[in-house]
Amino acid sequence: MVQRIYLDTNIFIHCGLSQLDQGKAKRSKKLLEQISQGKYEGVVSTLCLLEICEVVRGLAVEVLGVNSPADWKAMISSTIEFIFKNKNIKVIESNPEERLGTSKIKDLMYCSVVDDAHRMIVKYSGTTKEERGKFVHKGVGCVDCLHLALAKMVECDLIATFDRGFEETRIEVEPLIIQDKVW
Amino acid sequence: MNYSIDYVERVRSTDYPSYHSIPYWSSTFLSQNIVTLIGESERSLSVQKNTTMQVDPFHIINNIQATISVACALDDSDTRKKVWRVYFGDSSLPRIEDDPVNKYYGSLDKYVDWTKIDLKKSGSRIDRYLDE
Repeated sequence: MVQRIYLDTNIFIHCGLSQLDQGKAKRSKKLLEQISQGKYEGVVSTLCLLEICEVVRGLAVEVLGVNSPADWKAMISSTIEFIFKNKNIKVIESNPEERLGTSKIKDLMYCSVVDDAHRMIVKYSGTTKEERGKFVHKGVGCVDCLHLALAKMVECDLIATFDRGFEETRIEVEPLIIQDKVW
Repeated sequence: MNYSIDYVERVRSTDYPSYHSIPYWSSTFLSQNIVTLIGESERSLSVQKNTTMQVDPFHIINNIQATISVACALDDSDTRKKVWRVYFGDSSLPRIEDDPVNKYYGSLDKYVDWTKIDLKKSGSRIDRYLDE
């Protein structure tokens, strides 16, 4: 059985926008190639798709100077299309019908993803650290806890990300920190 | 006693970072116990070493505690259709490609005039968007 990997939003952003950080882009590409070749099963949640819209639009308009709505919409569409063209990436929203198994097991497995996310928000509060003269939160974010709960719900072995905040939550789902991965 | 494979478990032990998949051999009685335990804890449970060893014919898990959860294959066909329709209306789902990564890699770069972007100056704003 191949390992199932929940894919964080930044994997797709770095692969599509290769000039943003060429090292991260190559690593994202390598992971996505391995998924495409069937070495892993990739999982993308509807939450991740929403984040792709948010991050691509925000980066494009506010950082990268892509002001034409047609252009940033095309960037979002390309990314979503790529996900759908990959046979080894599953798109999930985490409803019981997505999980194949006996009805008894499916019923037992059903619980609230949101409840689990809230539990993790309380449990993994992170810390604060001074960076560039400002205090910032270091740790797993609140939305990230929802990613984790979704990953757990569909039994992902790993969560692939560039976000070190997920190191704090390794007992929930093991993080695959892409910048540390030796391929 | 007759044993049969009831379902496949994915076992995450405290010794190993990843899940191990093992066929779960059990009597009917044992299987009911496990199902009850899963029900109580919703999705995971701790089992004692002896319990685990008795039901693991391959002796994969030999640590003191292991977290067991039920494996599930994923069927995303309905979700896939639903999400696609939201973004792309009535156009049909795209054909699955053998190597879509090479086409996607760097494909968004063309929308950006990189000569006008100072990545060092924009670093913190980029990090904030990417949560890195």
